[in-house]
Amino acid sequence: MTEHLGEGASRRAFLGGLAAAGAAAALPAAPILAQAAAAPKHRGVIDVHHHFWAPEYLKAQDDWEDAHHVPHLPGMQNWSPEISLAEMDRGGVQTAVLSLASISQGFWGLDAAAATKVCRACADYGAKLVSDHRGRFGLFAPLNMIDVDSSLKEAEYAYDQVHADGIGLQSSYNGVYLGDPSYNPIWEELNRRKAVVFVHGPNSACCSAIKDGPGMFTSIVEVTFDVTRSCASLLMSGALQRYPNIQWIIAYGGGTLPFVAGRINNFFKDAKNLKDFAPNGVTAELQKFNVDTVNVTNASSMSAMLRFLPASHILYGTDFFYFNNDQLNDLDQRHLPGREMTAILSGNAKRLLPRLVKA
Amino acid sequence: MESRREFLAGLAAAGAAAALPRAGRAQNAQPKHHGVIDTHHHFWAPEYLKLSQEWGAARHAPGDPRIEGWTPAVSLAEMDRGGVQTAVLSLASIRDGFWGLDPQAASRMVRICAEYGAKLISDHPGRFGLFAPLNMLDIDLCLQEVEHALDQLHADGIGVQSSYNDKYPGDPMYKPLWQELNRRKAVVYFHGPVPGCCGGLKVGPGVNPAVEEVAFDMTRAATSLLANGCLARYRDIKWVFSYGGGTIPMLAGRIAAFFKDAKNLHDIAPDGVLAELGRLHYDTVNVTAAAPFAALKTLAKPTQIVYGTDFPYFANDQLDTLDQRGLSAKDLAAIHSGNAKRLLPRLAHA
Repeated sequence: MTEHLGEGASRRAFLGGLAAAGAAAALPAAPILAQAAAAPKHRGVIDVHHHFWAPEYLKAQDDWEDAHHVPHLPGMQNWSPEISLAEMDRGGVQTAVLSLASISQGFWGLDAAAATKVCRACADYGAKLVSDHRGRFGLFAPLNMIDVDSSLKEAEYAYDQVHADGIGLQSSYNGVYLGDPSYNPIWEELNRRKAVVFVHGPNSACCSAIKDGPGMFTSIVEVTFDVTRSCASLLMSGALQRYPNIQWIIAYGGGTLPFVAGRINNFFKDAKNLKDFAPNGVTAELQKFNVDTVNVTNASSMSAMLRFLPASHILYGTDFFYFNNDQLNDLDQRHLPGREMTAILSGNAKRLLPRLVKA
Repeated sequence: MESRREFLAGLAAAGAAAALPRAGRAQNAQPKHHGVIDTHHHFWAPEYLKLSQEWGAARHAPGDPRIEGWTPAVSLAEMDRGGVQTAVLSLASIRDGFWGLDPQAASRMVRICAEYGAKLISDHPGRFGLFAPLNMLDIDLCLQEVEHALDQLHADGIGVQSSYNDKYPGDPMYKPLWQELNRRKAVVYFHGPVPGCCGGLKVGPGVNPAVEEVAFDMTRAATSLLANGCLARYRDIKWVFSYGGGTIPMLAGRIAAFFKDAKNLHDIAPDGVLAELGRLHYDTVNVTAAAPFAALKTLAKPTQIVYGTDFPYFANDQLDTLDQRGLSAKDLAAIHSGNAKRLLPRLAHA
């Protein structure tokens, strides 16, 4: 229970922090700049990290927040597809691939049956947006990840019924990371389907209540740590090499992976069981990941990413509505070769998500 | 406790113990470098070793041969192998606050460690420096420890951890300590523990928490100091963060993005978040590979980067990786020793 309260407290701090930090600026910027009617500098961009709130999902989140005395964030309550489309138009984004934002306490504390209902509602809602707005949206459908059997059914539904572009997961659920052996049947199935799996950072059970001090709110660093943990978890469990047909896209530039990969290698390069989880070495294995560009378009982060991964593994993302297409301007300042820039802005996404080519 | 067991098991499995056996190679080859200063090098006073062993034994954690077999001679052999003139000694990861001790007992142990370190400095002229520990549980005792370490023992700086019982350095309770260390223009070096939050995480088989969690905790410490205005307020403290800042160079842009419109931005980061983070000092432990080093060098000038090994967990092989980073001779010399001598002037005369 304290854990849950902790999450609540931290989320409150997060929201307070966002308000204080004015990070909600993402929203106001859209209408203001849109009015100026400036033509976007880029065209045909694909945003692989863009959030959506189906009504049933928002209710599950609101109920959890109410139960834990966490205030609702206006940006979520007011979100609509039109708000996304306005920001996409402002930035020159052709298609945004929709996925769920950070989830707390497993799947908002729901049991598997309730969570699976919400997952389906999200898949249906996302699929409707895809068909209602031709060419403008893609979908990473969620799985509940609490129960393997129902998660497998959700995957089937996502692929065979609503034709999602991939699966969107959190890096941990109730403190269980993606390399946990209980998830193997899910990876087997997604491997068979050659799925794209987008890994997003949750409000983690361990760390959302950490008191870094009064001025701090944990979402800044903790979500990036949590996705990095799952990268290590997928590496060390052998899932990364055992399921080679899954194309992983890790949010926030892999969290901190490009920076700590060398450290991970230093710890494990001489491991006796290296062949079991990294037959070609730790670095080669970690370089199988694809990453998005959310909040890592600045010079120091990009320099690590581009040395760790080829540009073909880097995909543009915004984390809208928390952050917006101003990140395209940062990316411009990295002065990448045109071919690499195009690959990051859309080419790599089209390769991984072929439906978007026809969009 | 579980995490410590995993940590040790993980280290053994990973053969990271390679650090020690390699020291034996020293006899033959001449080191490629000379006069290097290693700012991240651990030591165990006998009483401190006993304390950490008792803590581990009570939790059924196996011992670590690198810790139990450590002597000053082991350090000196590895230093000679790598061409290290001086290693600045500090405590390795502490668990459970200060091994579960109350502040008075912790403070007694802190003094024992400081005195042992000071004796190594005088027994081996020019070979050792000291970042003296503080208990960090009781602020009055911390202030007395500072006085003892800096005025009596002439330690080169203070060495603390990124968190103690999940309390981070931006916490208001530490304000008097930073004020005093600011007045003394002290060097404050941060080391990463496996923090209370995260030692027991079930990240998966084989992932021992020391791999990532200490780097994450270092990041929290720096962000905590930033967010609470300590970096701006205590300008005369020379902050040194281990492991290239943990992940600070990778997350600098994200941190800046979250704070850029904060109402108190001018107070906590008068020149902007990136400038504030770029002003800190960072050691090179496990960030000498191309990707992390590129990020570190982009965030911070070469004048802010100091060489470190994390011996006995890791060794001077990191000098070889650093050689491959294409640094100018001037920058490499600054990172190897010049910056450390600027920060720790006693070592310039060592």
